Amino acid sequence: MTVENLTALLISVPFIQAFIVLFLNRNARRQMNQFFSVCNLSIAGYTFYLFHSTKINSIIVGGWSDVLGISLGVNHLSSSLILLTAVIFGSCNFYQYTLDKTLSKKNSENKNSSFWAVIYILWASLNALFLSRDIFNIYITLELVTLSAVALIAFKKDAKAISASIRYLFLALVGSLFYLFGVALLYYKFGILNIDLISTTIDLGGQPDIITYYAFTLMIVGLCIKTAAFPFHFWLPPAHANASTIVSAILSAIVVKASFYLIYILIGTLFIDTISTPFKYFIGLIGSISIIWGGLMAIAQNELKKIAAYSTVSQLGYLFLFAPLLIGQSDIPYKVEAIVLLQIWSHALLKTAFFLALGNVILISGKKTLEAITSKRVRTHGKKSIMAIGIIGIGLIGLPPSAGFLVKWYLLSESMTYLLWPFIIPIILGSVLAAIYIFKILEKTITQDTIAEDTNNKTSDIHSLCQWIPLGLATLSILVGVFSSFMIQFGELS
Amino acid sequence: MTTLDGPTIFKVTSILMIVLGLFGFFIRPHFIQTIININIMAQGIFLFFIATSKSTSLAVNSSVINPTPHAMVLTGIVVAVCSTAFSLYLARILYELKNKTSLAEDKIQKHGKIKNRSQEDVL
Repeated sequence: MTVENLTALLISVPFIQAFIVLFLNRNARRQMNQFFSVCNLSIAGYTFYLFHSTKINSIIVGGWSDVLGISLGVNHLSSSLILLTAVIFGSCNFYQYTLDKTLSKKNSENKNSSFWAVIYILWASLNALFLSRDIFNIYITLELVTLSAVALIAFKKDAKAISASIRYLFLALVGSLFYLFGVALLYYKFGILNIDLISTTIDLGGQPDIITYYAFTLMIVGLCIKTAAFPFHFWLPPAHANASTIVSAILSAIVVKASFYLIYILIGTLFIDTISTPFKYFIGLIGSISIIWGGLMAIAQNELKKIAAYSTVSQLGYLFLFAPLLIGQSDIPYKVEAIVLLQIWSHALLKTAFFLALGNVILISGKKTLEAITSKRVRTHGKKSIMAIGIIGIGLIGLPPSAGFLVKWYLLSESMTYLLWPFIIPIILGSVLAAIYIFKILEKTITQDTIAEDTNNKTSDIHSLCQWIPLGLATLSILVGVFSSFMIQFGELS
Repeated sequence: MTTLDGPTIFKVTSILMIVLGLFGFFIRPHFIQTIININIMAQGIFLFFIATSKSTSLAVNSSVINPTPHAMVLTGIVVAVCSTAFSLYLARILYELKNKTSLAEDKIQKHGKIKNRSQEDVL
């Protein structure tokens, strides 16, 4: 088995699973879902292993020449992100499996066969997006990711979720069209679509011209809309807070990172010479405002899932701080890539754990607001979920053993080395704000008396495994920090 | 732009369509209008692909038109049709659930309810 065959399997296997799952009944589907996850997880893991042992990276589908054919490639970042996608989808899948064990049929009725089909289509399109090395093919995968993500939110058929999904869909469509116009301009200029070929052509051409600048600006603006960078962040909190638990977890953990990954490879490989120093500062500024604004809004929220959603906006801001570190560099230093990779891993694991733990608390108490924490049932049945939120706090604030600490420490030390003083304030302030919104949740467990039990029947008992999954993911994110030297070394080697 | 030949006219038209679609997207809140505006923008981009297909020709003889942009436009049209159908479906569900035809806040909605109704009937 070579990397070439594996790239084909990574895309085609989840698509085939999406069609199989449509024809299964409820019990068969629950068993097969676990089997499918293990399948995809092992393919992703083997790709990661094989890439790091052989370092073959790019193939052209169908044996065409590299000017006409669609090229797929594995690099250090994408192999790691494919593995992360598989870990997140696998754990969400398993969470839903254990949840279905205890919940009545009525509660899980909206997780029907088409829901699972869309989950697998999203998985396949994310894999395809991480593998694509062709700017038009990236547009197609971007649209697939958007449409399936919006469909997953809309599966919860209440008015709030539907209006959130419509707002997300409209903005994401306009974002994609901005990107597509950028593709049109680049094709007009260069006549090729392959990222690596365009990047060498730009290098050879010397000073990039005005069309390249326009294409660059349009593509970055379009992708910023999809990544929820500061002025365009307003669609994210309602969309992520109103979806069902595992959908929120998947969207916050992976889907927003997919469009960020594109910003990163566009700036890092395609436009590394086009992008000017003020623009790098500007992207850093957008990230800084996102960090502070997301943190402030998270503190102001009363709904549990809204807090987690605004925390996503804040944590995504840290990713954008990679751009100012590239000032004066003609190539991405491995250290910057390690920072981006660590932040993506740590945030994805933490946010999945956060949404699953909050989902547990909401199910146990039957309430969606901060009051849920003070409910007596959470104190007796939901201890492990509260403990998971505590560990997640360590990661989000950035206390020493976690990966979040390493990211912030690297960002601070690099900013000081390159004399980027303005970016030090948001990095520290983001941690302080994260501490405030995490302790706003945690202090309710200690200080306030339990409120009288409601007699509504919304509360439900959940399987104890449901509580172990967020706890396990939160611990895993701490372990990523402990063993991060391993990941950074990978970056150094490649 | 010294001579006003075919490709130039189409290029200018496509840029105009993109700008008009974007402008309409921001000022028109009604779902149907938003969806149509997004489509106008998409069609503008497709027109740009077609208008520039002659100058991106890879062949030595420049009278041969490059077919790759046409293939991309075909793919783009399929994506546009799918996303239009999907957004129409979502808009319809929201109309059935909440009687809403735009994402505007409920306050404004109360005043414009009857007006929206009649618009919906016409459409």
